[in-house]
Amino acid sequence: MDSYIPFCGTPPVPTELWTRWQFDPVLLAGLAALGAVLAFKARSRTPALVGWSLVVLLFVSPLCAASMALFSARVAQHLLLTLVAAPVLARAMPLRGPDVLPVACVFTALFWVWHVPGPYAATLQSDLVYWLMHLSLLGAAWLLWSSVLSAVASRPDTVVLGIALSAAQMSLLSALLVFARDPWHGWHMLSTVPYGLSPLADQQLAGGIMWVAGGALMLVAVAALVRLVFRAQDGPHYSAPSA
Amino acid sequence: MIDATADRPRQGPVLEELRTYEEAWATPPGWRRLSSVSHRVVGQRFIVTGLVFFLIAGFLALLVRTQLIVPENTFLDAETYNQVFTMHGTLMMFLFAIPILEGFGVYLLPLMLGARDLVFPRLGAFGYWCYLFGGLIVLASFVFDAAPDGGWFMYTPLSTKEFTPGLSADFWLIGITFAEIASVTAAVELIAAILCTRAPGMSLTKMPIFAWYMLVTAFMITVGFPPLIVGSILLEVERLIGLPFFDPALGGDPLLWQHLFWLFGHPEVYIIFLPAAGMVATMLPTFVGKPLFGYGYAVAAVVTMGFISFGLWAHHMFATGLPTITLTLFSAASTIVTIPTGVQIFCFILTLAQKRPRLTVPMHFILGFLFIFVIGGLTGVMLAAVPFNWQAHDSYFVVAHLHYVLIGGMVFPLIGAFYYWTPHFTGRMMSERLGKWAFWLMFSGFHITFFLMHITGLRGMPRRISTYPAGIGWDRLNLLSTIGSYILAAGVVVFVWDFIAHRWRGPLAPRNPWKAGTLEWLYPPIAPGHNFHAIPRVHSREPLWDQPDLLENEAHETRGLLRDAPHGRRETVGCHPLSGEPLQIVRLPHPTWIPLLTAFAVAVSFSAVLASLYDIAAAGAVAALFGFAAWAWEPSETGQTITTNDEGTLPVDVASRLGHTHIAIIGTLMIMVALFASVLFAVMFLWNVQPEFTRLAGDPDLFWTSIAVACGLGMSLVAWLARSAPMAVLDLAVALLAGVAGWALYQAVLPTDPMATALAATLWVMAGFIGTQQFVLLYWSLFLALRKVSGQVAAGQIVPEINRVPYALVTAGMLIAAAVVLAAPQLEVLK
Repeated sequence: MDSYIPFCGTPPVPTELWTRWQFDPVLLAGLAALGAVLAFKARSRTPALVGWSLVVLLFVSPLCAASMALFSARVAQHLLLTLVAAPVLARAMPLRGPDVLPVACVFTALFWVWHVPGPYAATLQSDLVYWLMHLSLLGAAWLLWSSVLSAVASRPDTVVLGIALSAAQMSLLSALLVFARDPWHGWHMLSTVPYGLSPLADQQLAGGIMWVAGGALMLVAVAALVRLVFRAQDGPHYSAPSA
Repeated sequence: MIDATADRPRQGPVLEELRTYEEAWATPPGWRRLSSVSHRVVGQRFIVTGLVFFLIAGFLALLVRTQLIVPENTFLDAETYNQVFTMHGTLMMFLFAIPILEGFGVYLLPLMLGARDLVFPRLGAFGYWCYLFGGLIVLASFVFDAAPDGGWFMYTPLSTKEFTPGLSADFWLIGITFAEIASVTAAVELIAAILCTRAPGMSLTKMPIFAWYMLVTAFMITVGFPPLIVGSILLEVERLIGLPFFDPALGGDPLLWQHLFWLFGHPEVYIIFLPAAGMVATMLPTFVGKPLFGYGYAVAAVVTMGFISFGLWAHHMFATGLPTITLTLFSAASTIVTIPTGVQIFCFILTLAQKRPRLTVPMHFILGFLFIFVIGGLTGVMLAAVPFNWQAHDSYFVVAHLHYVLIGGMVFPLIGAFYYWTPHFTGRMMSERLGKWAFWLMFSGFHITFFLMHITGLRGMPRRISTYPAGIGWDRLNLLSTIGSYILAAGVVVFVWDFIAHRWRGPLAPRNPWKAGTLEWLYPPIAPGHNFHAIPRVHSREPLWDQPDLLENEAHETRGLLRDAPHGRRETVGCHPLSGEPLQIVRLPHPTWIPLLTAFAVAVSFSAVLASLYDIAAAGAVAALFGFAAWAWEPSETGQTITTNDEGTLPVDVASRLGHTHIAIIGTLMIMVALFASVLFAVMFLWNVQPEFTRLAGDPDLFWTSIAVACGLGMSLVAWLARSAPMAVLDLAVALLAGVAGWALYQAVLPTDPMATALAATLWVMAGFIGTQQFVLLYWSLFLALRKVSGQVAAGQIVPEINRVPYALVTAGMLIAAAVVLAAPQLEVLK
């Protein structure tokens, strides 16, 4: 157990960070497989390419290593994965699944589970759990945004409630991260110091990122969805009759 | 002044040939008018009561300004001064701004949407009485010389028993919580009304813009008010019984109150602003003669604002020692809100740019709104910058900012709205001449008062001080501010005088006096109490502009649905929530005393808590439960059909998820989930800020926790089955499982001592909240069983069974979440 090195390696110091790209063959094979599925199945090419590139970047780039040192980097990675890559991929290749609300509940549960101490530590003890985390988060988010996009015209009520739930749980979790008196994750007790951050400050930064950037991404999604509904069925306009 | 014609405004017309129909909709005369539940009557009650609270609160503001007119003034002593400014803020925010705007929504929305009444008229009436009684409780504190004096946000620890002995804070907490029942019930009612009773053809994208603003506002109320309700209950329980929620010595935290308060308080600002902005977006196109520019963008901006407002509460707490590293991010978040606000303001400006507006009195107030609100927004951007915020915190700069936003963003549009819609209430026009006097007095008085306060604040004067020493640069500014406030008050007096006197001096209002495009102006004022003899089909957002025949013909001859009601029942057309196409007939209640009596029972209950007479409080609560049962005990009419004139045959009270009662249940559940989430936040917040107290008060019993979860899941399953097989025995099973789940949850928390730590106390509150949910299900299911056994229900009448399913499911979800929270500290795997 002690000799285990997590998937993304040991926590890097800032100077070596930019050299820490992740070219694990299994990872590359998986990403290639995802690319192949998208190439054949995606409804539209551009979002497929954008979404896939982002996923590649999130796992191959030094962000993977950075998240070994900083919890805030991990949170940023998860936000980009679930709130940017997932909706873009859902647009390219919608998955079929249950209604928005049940999916939002599952997404909420997973989002909490993978950020609280016990399971979070487990992801750093086993490659399997590490991938379980990322695949379940990406899968649930992909499913969530797929069901949102398919229901937005026919059942906007569930979309509103589902997004409200997803946004609210994220705000609640981020508030706890910001206001907690002690750091949650033992792993980061020493890893953040080379970056000039205490573990607590790193955690507060993570909470702040989740709160503000996560909230902003949710807002963009909400505004885009409303516009989508209106573009589909904008009514005619009339001026006052000139008396 | 134009002399009024001898003719009086008449409400009508009342058609002889539709005698049963007209009689069904007649408002009871004399004192029995109090039993009326019509939205036209209830809306006017809200508006007039709100106006009275505005005048009282405005008078208190003048007392404040008079005290500050010269340094070292002795007009009010410090204690009275504290009471006066506290009551000024409290009355303005809770008993004037929200209720009066909801009153306009209650009055106008059915008229604009093409409905004869709101879908739950009795709920609206009940809400009004709760508001009135709650407001009277708050006001009664003056009589007992126990007016609250802790500021309108009642910060702990100042408001705890130790530092505020006596009853003053209790008056505030109980009265305001009671009045908030009105706000949340009205919100549920508006959601259901907007989504379920629109004219045929009025899809969501063709709704009048005001309906969109009110819809978003109503959703925000359902989520935004619960944190304060929870906070108030926690504080009141701490004051009454001594549970240590806010006591740091026992693992509590005074900041918990601030979080809960601003979780409510920040959305509250938008809840006040949005309906007023919706009024502007309605009036402005009328005076320009062009539709609102960028309707879709405005809607997107409003919806986004609804979301964003819940993420910003921390910016009211910049000075409470938030983590430094997150301050920049919060500061950035606070400036983001300028984007959706800016989109709306630009929609207004571009509407104005299309054509020269008619400079009527309402138009003056709209321009005043734009000018003042933009300045308030800019000082808001200044305050979003943390270094400046620290400098200006708790100074008169903040006082100036918030009055610019609230008076500019809400009061000016509101007075404009009074001038615009009063003809609809009274059938007479208010005076253009007096209106312009009112506007210029208010506008100039406002700026003299509040613009100077920015400078007073920058010169260091803190808010809420009862007096100040001479010669430190504040004297002249305060003198001028006070003079300005008198000018502002003079403007309000002119408006109020006009509002009263126009009833006998104002000229009769012609049909569609402002040449508006929205449906409320279809009838010559005063429109009949049922709003429409027949409900016309609409094709656009401006039906009166686009369908000239609507105004060319007599209003009562308009072609449409549901002309006449030979069965003598009140009813309106229920629509598909999205397309607006007719879906069902919604049966509406006739005048009844039950809402008034039930609200009175609740008022007795609340007042008895205040007086520590718990037997009477319990009796009041039981009486209220009987009231609710009597309310709901009416024959189900699902399965009947009505032949309409144009759209064929429609079913009555359709048993479907699209029905109005189901949508109301979803709205209610949003309130419940928000209440639960607030409690959950309190639990987890305390757990994280004082972790060493986590297990000091004992561990919850996990065996009983799992029994509770199992019963909750079973209860949901049976409720779900009962939907397709409605039988009394299944109702009894739901009731039994709900009861056992509640009892098991009680057993689960029993090993913890709520007096020992704040965390244990919040766990008890969490269990108590879920227990209440279980009790509702139990009561509801017993009620349904009783109806079935006594032969009240025919085959296919399954509306309540359909509605109970989401309630049971959400309750089970709460149970699961609660179980996780109860178990988490004991689970090794989570550490």
